[in-house]
Amino acid sequence: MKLSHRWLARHLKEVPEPAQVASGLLQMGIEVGSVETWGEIYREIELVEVVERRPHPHADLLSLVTVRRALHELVTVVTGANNGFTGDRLWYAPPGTHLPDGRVLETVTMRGIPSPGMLLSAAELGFQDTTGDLWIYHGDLPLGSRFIDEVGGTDTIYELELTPNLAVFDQSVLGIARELAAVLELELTPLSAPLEYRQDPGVAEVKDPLACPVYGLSGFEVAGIQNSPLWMQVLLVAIGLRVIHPVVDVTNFVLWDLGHPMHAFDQQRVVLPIEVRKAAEGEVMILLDGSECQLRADDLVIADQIGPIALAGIMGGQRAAISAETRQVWLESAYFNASGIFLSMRTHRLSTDAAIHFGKGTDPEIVPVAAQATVDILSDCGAMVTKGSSTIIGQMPMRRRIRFQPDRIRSLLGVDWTNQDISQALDRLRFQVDGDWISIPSNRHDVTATEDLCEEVARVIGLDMIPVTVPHSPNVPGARNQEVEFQERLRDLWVESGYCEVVTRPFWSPSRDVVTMADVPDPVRISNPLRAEEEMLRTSLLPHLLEVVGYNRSRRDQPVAIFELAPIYARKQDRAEEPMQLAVAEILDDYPQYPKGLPENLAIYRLKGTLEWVIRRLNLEISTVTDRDLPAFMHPGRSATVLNTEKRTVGFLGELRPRVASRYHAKRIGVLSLFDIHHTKSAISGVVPSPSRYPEVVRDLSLVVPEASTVGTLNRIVLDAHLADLKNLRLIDVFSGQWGRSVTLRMVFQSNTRTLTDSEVDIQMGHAIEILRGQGMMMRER
Amino acid sequence: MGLPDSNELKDLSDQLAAASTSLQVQEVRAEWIGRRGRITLALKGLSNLAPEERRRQGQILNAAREQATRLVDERLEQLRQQEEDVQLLRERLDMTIAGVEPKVGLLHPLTRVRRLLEDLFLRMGFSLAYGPEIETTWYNFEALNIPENHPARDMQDSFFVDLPGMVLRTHTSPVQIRGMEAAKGLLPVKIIAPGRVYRRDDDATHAPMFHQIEALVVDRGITLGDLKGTLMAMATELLGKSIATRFRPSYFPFTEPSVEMDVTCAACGGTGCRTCKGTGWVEILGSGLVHPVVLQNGGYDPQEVSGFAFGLGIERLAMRIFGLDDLRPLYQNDLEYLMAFDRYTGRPML
Repeated sequence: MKLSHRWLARHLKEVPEPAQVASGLLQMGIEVGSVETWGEIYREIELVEVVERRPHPHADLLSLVTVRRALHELVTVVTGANNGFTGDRLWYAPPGTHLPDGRVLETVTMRGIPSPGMLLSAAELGFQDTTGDLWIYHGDLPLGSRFIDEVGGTDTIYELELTPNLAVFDQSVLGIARELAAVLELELTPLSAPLEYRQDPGVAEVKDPLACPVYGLSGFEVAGIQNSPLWMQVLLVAIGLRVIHPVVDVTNFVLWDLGHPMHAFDQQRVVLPIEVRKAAEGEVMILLDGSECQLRADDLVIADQIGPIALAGIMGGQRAAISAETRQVWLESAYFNASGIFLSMRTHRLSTDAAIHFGKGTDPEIVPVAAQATVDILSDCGAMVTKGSSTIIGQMPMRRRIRFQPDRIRSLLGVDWTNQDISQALDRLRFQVDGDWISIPSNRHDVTATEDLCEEVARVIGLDMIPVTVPHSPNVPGARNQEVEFQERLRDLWVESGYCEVVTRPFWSPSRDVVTMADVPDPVRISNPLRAEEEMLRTSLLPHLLEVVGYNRSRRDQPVAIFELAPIYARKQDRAEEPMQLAVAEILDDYPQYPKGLPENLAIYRLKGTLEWVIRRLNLEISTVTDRDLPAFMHPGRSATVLNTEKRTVGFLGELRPRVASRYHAKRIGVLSLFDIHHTKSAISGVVPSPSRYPEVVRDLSLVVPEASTVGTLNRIVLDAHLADLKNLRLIDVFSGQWGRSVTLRMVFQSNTRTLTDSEVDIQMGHAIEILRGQGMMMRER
Repeated sequence: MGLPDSNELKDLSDQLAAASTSLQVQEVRAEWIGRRGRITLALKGLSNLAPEERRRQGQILNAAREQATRLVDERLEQLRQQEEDVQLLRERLDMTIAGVEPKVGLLHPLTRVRRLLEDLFLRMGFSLAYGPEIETTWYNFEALNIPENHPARDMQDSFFVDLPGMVLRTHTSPVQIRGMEAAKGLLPVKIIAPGRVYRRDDDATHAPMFHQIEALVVDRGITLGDLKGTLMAMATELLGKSIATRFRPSYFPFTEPSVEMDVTCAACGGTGCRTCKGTGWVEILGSGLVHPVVLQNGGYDPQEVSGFAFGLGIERLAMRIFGLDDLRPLYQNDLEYLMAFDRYTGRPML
């Protein structure tokens, strides 16, 4: 909301400095978004007097007007205006002047005659005057005066940000003035007396008193009035409103002055009596903005005997609208039920100034006051207001009362303010304390309970005055969630292993990648996505991760190793589930190959090794196997399935098919997807063995094995032999030659009780070799 | 041969100085203290002398031999050092070349800021609590005193899903209700709830998915002063002792009274700049005393207990801590950008 500093003077006997206004508003919870000076451009516009007017020698419609500036300097300007004769005083903009519409004036040559600057109309200055083309000045200012003097100097314009609760009662200059009066202890100017309605019969009927508790209508003559008073025009223009017609201007003015929207109808276009009623379903009306409004049964309308003439509290209709020909008007001042207006505003998407006031709730008691204020201003303009008929329907609602509980206010705020401090603070906001009760001002629809009063007291006395304390609750150490702690550890381990954590958004669409998204028949869809490619919630992390790989790869040729631990989303009947998933992706190109002698491109073992390390670190109860079906996008020869202890598939690991990887600008991408990751209880059990004091015996065993056999099988066989002192078994070399596939294992023997002899180890080795031979795995001969 | 005098030892020194290789020094050593060296031979000759004389000369000769040995060893060590230097300098590397850094990963900055906050509140005795991202409209709205027609429930602000009565939660505040329900009427309730939240916004400072931390304290006699104290402790802990705080009345449907906290603008230090619109302050969180309706919906009697709650945007805090003006890159996951967050920020948890 825009606030004119000068306008405050209508309600405050003394208006504080702008800085004080801003800090007072801040204490009351009203943020001042920006502060601007209005009127600077009017400093350049000066008052001149016409000394001669003659026809333009080359153009019939133009005249040459010579004006005298201050210091008797004469200037001749070409004008097309039909007024401005010798002796008239006019507003002149010299070259270089900035006009409100953004134009910068210069000397232009019109039909051969140079014209320095311009003589101005009211519209060119942003004002309204209907007496002629040029704005003739009739006041007492001396020649050379600036237009800024005529409009009373510059003004400070604040852009205020009102929270929804303050918007209930603060969307007006009066509202803001009341807040400032309360916080800065200023005196308010009393409001004008209420209009005395005459209760003429046959003028209006209210069919729905719940939706419209108070409805006032007063008629008067506006014929002959042409312009709004300049002081009012200045205030309206300063907050960015256009001045149009006195009747429209004054209702706009009262709306922003008192926070009370009103409406005027052309009497000649209305067939009495006016009715306030719910619309009939399917009823249609043309609104002031020319649009057609399909009314619904819960819309409240103002209608005459022909049909609706206004969507109540929101916008008038075209049929009974004020026009230049209007001679008599009906002025409506009413109090509507806020929620009804709010709903209609939402339904029809009509956030008019009237609707944002009525929709928040207005002050019923201001109905006749606003009407009188309007009448007063129109009288100033020359309107005949005394003769018209008028009526007001409905009872003024009683002010609500709630219990006054100063103890509770003190205990909620944590203060020791006295009852008197508290009731004075409330009194400054027009709450009246009466013994155990407190009566709520008629416009404070936001206040219903003591908690609301706490806020009022704190606003007036100041949040800064509340002492700083900490809760005195017994001190209990904060607890983490075990499952989450496990997830954090998992993140740390991947980071320690050299993988970078990424955070992606869970929005997804099949148009992005159908290949790697887990095939879930019924994903959760977003009803109102921001974009088509974000229409559903992901069922797998992997595609997002691969997009990150592709994004990075397209930018630079560097290794990428990333992971994300986040929920995915699955539908379960009418509910959703959000299981956590881990996904890892890594570009395998250009990595050094190790161990040497293995086939090329084996960086996948780095990813696999990290998983194995993580499994060990967290005692995860999972393992990898190679005999299960794999997703189709995985490399069939370089992937493995992750199983849990129940042998259920909980993930997969390996390379993407190169064809899939190439979509992400890499030859080979290693991925890991774990979709059932849980903290295991066994993670905290277990004993770390003491180190042995006896020496290790190391034996390397080179075997020639069948092509189809795996190192996994080999290891299994050796381990299943249960060699008494075998402490460690490690693959150190593998290669294929003419004789077949060769594997070298390093076996470490150690006892905790004695030094092993060679012969003891020989016996154990011999046992292993024998078992291996039975499986077709022979010692390699050199 | 007679006793070696100081002139002779001077001879030895000269010879050693003249020797330029360890081999030459070995020759000098042989000449003096080798098996047939001058001093060795002189010592052998002692056996012919009378005991008295033998002891006298023996002492002198032994001293001479010790000194000779020392001189030889010193020279030898000197030459070895020189020879080694020559050899090692052939292995010279260009030590101006950048070192090979260890290949490490990094937690996402948002994870790090989240952990910083969690750590801080754990130390203050808050426990972690969680709620689902796909939330019922009851927990996300009604239970928090946001009725059907409230503007916050506009389609414009929330993502709805094709599950009846469900919405992507627009804030972590539903965990207030869930946290109270989980506490089953016990006191105190003292929780923080970090998590992802969703709103239909997408620009430099608003992301459709972002992270919040919600805090809730419910107990007998909790006051607005307690809220102020807790928030000020938090601000100092997060942003340093030099930070100033300011409280302003505000509005949230689920708190009453509602308060926003501003802190000194980091960009200008409080003098006023573009970031803070010239005010010297930036808002960092919304808070307030828990609304009686919310306490009731969580199963607590507002006449018996009171509480405070606040919500903090993790992205907003990350932007402040790392000095960011655009949060979109945080979700773009350009690794070069993410790895740039590896600089030490003065906070151990980060």
